[in-house]
Amino acid sequence: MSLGRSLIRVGAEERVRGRTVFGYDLERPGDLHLAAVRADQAPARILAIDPGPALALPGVLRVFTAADIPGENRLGIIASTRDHEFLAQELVRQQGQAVALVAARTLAQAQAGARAVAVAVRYQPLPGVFDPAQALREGAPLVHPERPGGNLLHERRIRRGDAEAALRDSAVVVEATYTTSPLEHCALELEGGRAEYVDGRVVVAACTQNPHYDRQDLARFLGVEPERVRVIQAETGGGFGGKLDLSLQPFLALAAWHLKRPVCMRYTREESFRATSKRHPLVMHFITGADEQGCLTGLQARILCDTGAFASYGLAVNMRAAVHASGPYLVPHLDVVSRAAYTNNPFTGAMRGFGVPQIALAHEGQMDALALALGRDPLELRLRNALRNGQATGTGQVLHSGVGLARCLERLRPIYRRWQARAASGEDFREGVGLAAMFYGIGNTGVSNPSTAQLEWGTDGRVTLFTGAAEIGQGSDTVLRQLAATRLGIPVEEIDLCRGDTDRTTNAGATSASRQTYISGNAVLAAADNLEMQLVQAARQMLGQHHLELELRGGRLAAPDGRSLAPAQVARYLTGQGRRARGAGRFDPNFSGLDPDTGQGRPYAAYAFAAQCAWVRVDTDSGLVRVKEVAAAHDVGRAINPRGVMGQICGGVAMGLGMALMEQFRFGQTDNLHRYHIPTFLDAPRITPLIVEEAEETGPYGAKGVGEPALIPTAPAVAAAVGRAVGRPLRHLPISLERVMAALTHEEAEHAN
Amino acid sequence: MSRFIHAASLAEALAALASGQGRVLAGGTDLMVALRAARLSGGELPAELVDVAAVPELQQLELEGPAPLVGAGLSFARLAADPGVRARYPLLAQAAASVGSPQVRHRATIGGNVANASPAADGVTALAALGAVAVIASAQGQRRCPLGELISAPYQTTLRPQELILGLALDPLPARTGQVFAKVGRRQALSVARLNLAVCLDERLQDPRLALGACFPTPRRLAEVEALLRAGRPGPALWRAAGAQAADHFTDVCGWRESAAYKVPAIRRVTARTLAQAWALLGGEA
Repeated sequence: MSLGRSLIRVGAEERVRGRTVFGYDLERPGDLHLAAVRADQAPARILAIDPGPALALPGVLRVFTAADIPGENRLGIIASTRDHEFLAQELVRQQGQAVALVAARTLAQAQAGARAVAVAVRYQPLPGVFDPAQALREGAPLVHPERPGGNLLHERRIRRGDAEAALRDSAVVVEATYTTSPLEHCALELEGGRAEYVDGRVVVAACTQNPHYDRQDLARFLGVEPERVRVIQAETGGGFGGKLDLSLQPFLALAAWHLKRPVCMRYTREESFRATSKRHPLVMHFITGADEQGCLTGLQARILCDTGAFASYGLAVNMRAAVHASGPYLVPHLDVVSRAAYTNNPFTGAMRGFGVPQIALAHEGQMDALALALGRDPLELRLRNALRNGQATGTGQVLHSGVGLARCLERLRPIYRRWQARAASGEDFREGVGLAAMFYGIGNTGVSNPSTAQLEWGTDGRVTLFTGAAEIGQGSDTVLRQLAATRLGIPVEEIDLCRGDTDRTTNAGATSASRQTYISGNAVLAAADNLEMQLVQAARQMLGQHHLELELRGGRLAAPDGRSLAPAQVARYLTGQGRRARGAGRFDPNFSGLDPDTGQGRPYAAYAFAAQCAWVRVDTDSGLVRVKEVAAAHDVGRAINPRGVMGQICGGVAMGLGMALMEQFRFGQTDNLHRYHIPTFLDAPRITPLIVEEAEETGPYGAKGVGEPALIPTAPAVAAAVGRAVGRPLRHLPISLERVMAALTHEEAEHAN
Repeated sequence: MSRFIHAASLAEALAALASGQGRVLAGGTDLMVALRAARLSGGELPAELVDVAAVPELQQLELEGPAPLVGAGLSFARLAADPGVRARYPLLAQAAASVGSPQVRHRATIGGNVANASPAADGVTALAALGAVAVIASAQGQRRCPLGELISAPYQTTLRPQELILGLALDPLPARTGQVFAKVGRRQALSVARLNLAVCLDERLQDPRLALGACFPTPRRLAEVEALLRAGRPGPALWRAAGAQAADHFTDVCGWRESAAYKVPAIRRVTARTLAQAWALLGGEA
């Protein structure tokens, strides 16, 4: 039985020994090298690009511009907002946007060529807009002038009941504005890949979170049928949403297509910072009410997302921010408006949590403000309002099972109380303990997002799992095999994996939205069901007993009378008939779209819940915050691989700590790992992961997801803890030395008055 | 492409530098980063790199006696761990331990820290408090130059291309001192100091030393604060007054810029605390 066992991850040993071949490592001798030419100013109109000086350099073979794109230049995963020009056509909309691509014999020659092109581009500067609120004002410069709707990318309203009246009648009302900063994913592996032209097809191997989508958009880019593009997901060293959009794959495909030669490309860390998406910075204005007993009465929220120069996943982030604005609580009356605006800032897109880590800062800050106003304990106040099985979310979706928030809070309670009792203060330090909760809808918001998978029983007795689900370090290779092994009743070691090659697998959707365990896991179970059915039918034929009762048990086809048959034998029988023992499965979550006006609907089939508490020490002389402890209780439905779950939780907490305390992307200023600070090992607190299993009835063996939830409560919990320590709420991320000092000196000034 | 010259002795290193075309490569933790940036931007690379990591004359460490000297080629890892440094110049050992990460500390040298001349250099703030004078060698001979004259501006020194820092001569200190190096960064490792401070107090406050870094164009000793300390009675009131004076000095020199909202209270408080800690090491009341 492999379910619930902490099996060592597929590929762990290769990674530890340094043998894994990542997308970055795919270069082969003789490959041509590519380098992008990136705009150093924006917005601007391109007047001319002179490839001449570059082409005169040794080794430079070709300079590509937008004119060389055979198909559509505008790509993007969300079909209604495709606007990302991989080579700027006429307008440069953000700094760092690629305007040309150089192919050369060596990397140094390609880079020299790119520099030569860069100085030979003539731009006409244009007025830009760099603040989302200004972008939505009348007369603001338009980021996409040709686009109807101006700079407003998307607006999502969620209305339920009468929030205004509810707030008017509330015993307490708290109102505040919260903001977050643009963040970079900082996956350990930089973008890298290779492409070649084989028999009229382009084959692209690169790091990615979504190989089947890549293939569709690359075909669109080249103006060919998808069959003429093959995408192979290279081993991918982390993504966190940063490898969901296409990065260098269009460049690889374009060059291989034209030159008919193998090409490779890699980003430097600086290029990765400048060229890929960032986390959306949000401005969140929240008004929240409660009655005397501390029950939430109503919420009015106004949210503004800066989507930068391209839409990317902006629509999804905006929707999620709105849907999750209520937090994991019963809120009878809601009025939420979330808007995403284009600016000429670096484009923002998917990053672990799609807007929910940002929105959690606001809903949790409000819960703490209410607790303070009511004189109630923050944990008990959350428990009082926590969603329960049978209750409805802010979109009116009644949750029948799998609502584990109360259990998460109860698991935390003794730890929270102990830390509260132990938190100390001294002459030059103060400690605080903070708490935060979250819920997170698994899968894409209010749209179909199916996964498919196949399982084949070989004549040698081994089973192969075919999946398009990208493994990016999160563990799907392991978890999907565990699920298949459990359903087929065989040891996990007997399952081979074929993953992420568009010629050999089918679409599993993106590795995003914490969806692969729940959605692809269900697709794998459906494939196993289908495989069993086929094996049973074939066995009946083989034995000539057409009504024989058979089922797959313990890895064998078993009859009620105790006789059994090896599936491999049936596979051999099928092979003799020119067939294969192959089952196919598909799963699409049970969803409904959101009402365009009220936002009511069933955006997700399943939700994960979590609560975390943090214990911090603030140095009151320097403003330095040190997170001592974090306890993280996560309702994952069912832990298919408990160690994998704990790994996700610990990683999420570390990443959330960076968001809380130090991360902030500024183009040209913090675009390397020297200037852009992420937590080091020394910054990591002691982390106590707590697994809560409130089964989701539609999940594979009850499982939901944990990839993004792991991160979401951390920043609000740390913010609450720091706020408790310094005696003032901290509503803006990151909580830098300067912000802590401002809170401390503000308090001093108040005392002085 | 640069020519790479491995120098096995001081004579070889100085001979290689005599052309004026060479750049000194010690630990490389600053230089390699700069060279990579230059390569990527198509900037100019030095004609020659003179690797001095193996030059034995740069590895001297003389702590006893009237003329203490720290070899320029000593790594931060060595300075942080050396029992003599920890006993005689603990603030230097603490500063060394606060630099970068273990990997960086094993490569980076104190001489390189001086030559790179970052306003936030932890080693330089520590050396400033210890009255360091650079001993500089070239094929023409040796000269001595106080740290404050050697480092002329952020990332600029008066070193000539033919010259190499041989070592840093330190002031001899009384037998008993209280020394503390304090650093504030944005994270616990691999962090450029937002503020660093080196304090050395003697029992009678006859020769108090206080240097502040990451606040001025170059790390510097604060003579006015030291004078205040010499004249005052040790205790919390004096430490607070010294902190306030250090913060005043910062605004006098740098004006009220945006960073002052943080720096002024931080300098005030961290200075007072560091002085109290140094005094407590002498058995005094904090």
